[in-house]
Amino acid sequence: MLTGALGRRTFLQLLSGGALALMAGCSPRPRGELLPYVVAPEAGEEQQIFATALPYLGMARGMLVESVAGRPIKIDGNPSHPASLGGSDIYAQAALFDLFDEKRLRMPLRSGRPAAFRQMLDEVKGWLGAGAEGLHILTRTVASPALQAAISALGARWHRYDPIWPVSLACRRPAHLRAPLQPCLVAFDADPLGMHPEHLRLAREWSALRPRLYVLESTPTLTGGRARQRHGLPPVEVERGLWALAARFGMAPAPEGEVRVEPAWLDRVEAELKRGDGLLLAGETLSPQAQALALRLNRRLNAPVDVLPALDQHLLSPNESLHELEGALQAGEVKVLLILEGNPVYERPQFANYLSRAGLTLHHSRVANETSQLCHWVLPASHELESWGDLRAYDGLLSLVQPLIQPLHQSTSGLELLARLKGDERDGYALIRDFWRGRPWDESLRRGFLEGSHSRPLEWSEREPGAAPAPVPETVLIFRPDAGVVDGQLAGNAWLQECPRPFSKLVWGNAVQLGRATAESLGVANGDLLELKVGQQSCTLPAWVEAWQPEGTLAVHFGFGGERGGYDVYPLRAEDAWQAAVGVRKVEGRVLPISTQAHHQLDGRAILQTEAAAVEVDLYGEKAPSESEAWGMVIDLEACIGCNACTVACQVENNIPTVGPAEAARGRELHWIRVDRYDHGERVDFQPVPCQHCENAPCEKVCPVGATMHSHDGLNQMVYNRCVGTRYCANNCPYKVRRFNFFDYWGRGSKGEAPSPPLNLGWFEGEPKNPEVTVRDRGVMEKCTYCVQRISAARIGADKENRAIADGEVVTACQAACPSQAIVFGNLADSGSRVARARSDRRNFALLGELNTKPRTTYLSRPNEVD
Amino acid sequence: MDQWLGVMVMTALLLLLVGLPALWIYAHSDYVQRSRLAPEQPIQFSHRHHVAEVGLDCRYCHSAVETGASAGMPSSSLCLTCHSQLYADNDLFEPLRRSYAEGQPIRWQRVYRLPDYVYFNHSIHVAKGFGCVECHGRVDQMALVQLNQPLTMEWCLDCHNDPGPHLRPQDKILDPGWEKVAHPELKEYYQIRKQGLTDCSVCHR
Repeated sequence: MLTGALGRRTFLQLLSGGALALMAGCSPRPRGELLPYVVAPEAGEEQQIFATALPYLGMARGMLVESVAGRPIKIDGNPSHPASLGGSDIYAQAALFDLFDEKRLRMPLRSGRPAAFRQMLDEVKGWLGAGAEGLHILTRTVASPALQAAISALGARWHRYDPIWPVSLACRRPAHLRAPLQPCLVAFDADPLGMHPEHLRLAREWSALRPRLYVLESTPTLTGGRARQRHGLPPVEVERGLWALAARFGMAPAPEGEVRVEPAWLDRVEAELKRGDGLLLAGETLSPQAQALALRLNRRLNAPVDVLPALDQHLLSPNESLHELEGALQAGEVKVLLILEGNPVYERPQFANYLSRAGLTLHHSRVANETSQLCHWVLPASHELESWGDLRAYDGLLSLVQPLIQPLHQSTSGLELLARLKGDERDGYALIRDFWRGRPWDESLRRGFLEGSHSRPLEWSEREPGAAPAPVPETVLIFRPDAGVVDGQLAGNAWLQECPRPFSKLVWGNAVQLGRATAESLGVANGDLLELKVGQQSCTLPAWVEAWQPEGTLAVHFGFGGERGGYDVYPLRAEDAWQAAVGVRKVEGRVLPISTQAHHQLDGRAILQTEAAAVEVDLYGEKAPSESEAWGMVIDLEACIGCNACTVACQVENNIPTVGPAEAARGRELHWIRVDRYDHGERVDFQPVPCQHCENAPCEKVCPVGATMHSHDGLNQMVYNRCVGTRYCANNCPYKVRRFNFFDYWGRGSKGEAPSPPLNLGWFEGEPKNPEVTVRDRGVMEKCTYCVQRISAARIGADKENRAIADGEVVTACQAACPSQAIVFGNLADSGSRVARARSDRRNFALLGELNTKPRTTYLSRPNEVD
Repeated sequence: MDQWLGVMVMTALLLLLVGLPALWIYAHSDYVQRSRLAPEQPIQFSHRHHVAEVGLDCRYCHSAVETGASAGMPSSSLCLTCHSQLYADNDLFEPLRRSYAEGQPIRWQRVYRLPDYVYFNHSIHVAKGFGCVECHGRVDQMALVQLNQPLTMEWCLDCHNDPGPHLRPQDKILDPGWEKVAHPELKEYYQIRKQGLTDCSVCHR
């Protein structure tokens, strides 16, 4: 048509066509619908807070859950609950993901096909008849008295196991050792700030006390990161160090042969302990003898250690009980086996051989896993946020678990399932009310726990510590739970998978950690494959050089393999051992694990300041745009333990999507607050870096469309609807805190093309996001806003009452989550505010202050420890 | 050929001079802005009847207007407070009865809609002397609610730049019939912020 001369008719045709096309683009304003309630709830659409408890390592921490329009949207610590004291951790923050996980089981399955719950009950009855003979139940550690009672009432044989078993064997019976922190702490492979059921309380106590901390450990831990003097040694040498210390107090024979702990460390620790305010912490991965020796030494030092009964007292050893079950299965005594939660086939691969010998197997689980594949019935389990129950904390405090939402799928809680098996049709609420009869219900429910219900300390008898273990010449492989997905139960949680591990900064997978010299002697660099051989089992993993991993040891973390990403190392573990002698061999191939350590680098600028006297920074300068409000933040690097709770809390609060392993490997993770790690030999520093809200913001100068602007109260605002995605601002930001949505990571499918391969990050349509925060689209820049939605809420509240915003009224999500209270936020214009006082501390410094960006976020340096 | 070139240039010029302003006018027209247009609703609910004739307070149905971001829409059960007795058998109320019986919400068509990245809070506006009429018009005279204002950012900023002339005494906030007279003292009375009302983050976050 266009060939030759353009005729008049053709021209007019094209003109009208073009005009029509133009008109079609101007569609009228889109309409929506308003769907009011049929019967309005009491609270309407206002935010409500409920107290409940969530488990970590099987034990309760009190949490407050925010619910808007009937949907839980945010979880934070319950300040009055002794096990959390208001702090939270990545696991509590990310629990919402598990609730709304799209991989959850929707309905009961019989041999992989949807089936009716009633059919399962009939089938069980068919096997058992009227009695309970031949019914076996396998659980993990059960810290819920109601569930314990329900299992006992069923009359079944009860077996327990737990891959991670935070119970001390220092006495003749399994116990929880509990002590208030003391001004001087000596930790032997203990991680009170990290892998401990009470880590929230301990972190808060630690932050208030800032004790003199000395650490001997065999893998890097958060506790080691805060130590004054920390030494990494193989596990047996850590124990020998304990014996050497005890020998100085005349409590144990000195270990034979050479001790690898430096005498200087021992001298220092001995002198410190003799000051009379010391406490020894022995980790549960140490041998029972070593734990007993530490307890003895504590008694000698008059350290106030309580021995509390373990929550699951029948569990003498995590294996005994499972061996019993395996024996019963072998003998064909098991007609019906009910596995409550857990994944024994994955955690103990040999268990699979026995499982087929049971008549009927039932697995009660939130998601399908290795165990459910081998079971006849898979029964969907309710999440803690959709079921009634109770749970004890580490110290025995009885806490209530209350639902925030009706079960999303055809699921039952463990309590309900056991009741159904007994022919009891009541729901979870009726069951827990019945069990709690005689206890104050209303008060406990409002508070979240039953006051005064913690365990009473026991009289205890010591174990004999005996002689120190002999040194081990071989290379030792150390097993530890992963800091993100723990034992693998949380591996489906994208928020936890993408949260950089505190030391390695690895995401979406694991690797074998080894020290620099060990790596050199093996001739491997990051990503080179290593074959580990323990007994008959072998496993190939990429190497990851970790400066803090003691030489002569390798460390691997549980919780990965298969769909979880990374590599499964459970097969290497014999029974419940925490270490094993290992043969290591370099094999062909390279798989580089994904680590965020090198992402968002500041061009080699040395920015962390550690000296007590920081540089002078002109804080208020000539720029004081508001006389009433000037928002600012101070982060205390001495208090920060590097746990990442802030990172995940921010992610939940601000609707930050996960990007998946492929995108994370390209450095495109979207966390608004990253925790940088700095190595200085035997000292490590953590520095959380959110947007610094510079008064002279370099990003604002380069935005061609004014999408990032300054507000009168000092916020560096990001206006998503103006942003056209030039990314100039991110380039010009010296702190590298701006994040770009390269794809439509929420998968809303509006404009963005689907990333390839599809990310499938686990959310399904209609998942709750924070309704107060815009969900960003593809091609938009984003960054920390100082939780401007919370500032707005406080401002509206204050303005309605014609008053100023009080100090402490605006709490940012990271600040609320921080277990060690390292973050202070508030109004710098109010000289009496906590943040203004923190900022006048002589440790205060501004990141890259010499650039004269005048950041509103400043840091308190972590002093070089000198006595 | 030259002749056609001339025609083409003239047409292009005409397009620029007439077409673009026409497009602009079209884009800001009532039709596109949906103002003064009342969409079809599942129930022919008349504000005129309920407000002007029956004399209901706005807050009886929009109960969260003084406390929440959203003013709140009445639940089906709230409508039935009266309509289980009044006109209970009328066919008009079939959708209401069905909603209550089946537990399904009534699907009202939105008249006022802001983009997802705009956060508007009713309670602060009402608390600071801003009447319902300013945005919603004389709903007491509307049989079917229609959009009364353009809801553009420019329109929001008009007041945020200078709220004074739009303020009314506290007892007149819900009064649709109040004749606007200037009250210069009100800005002081309501202690309206002098700074920051036009910050981006006031509405966008």
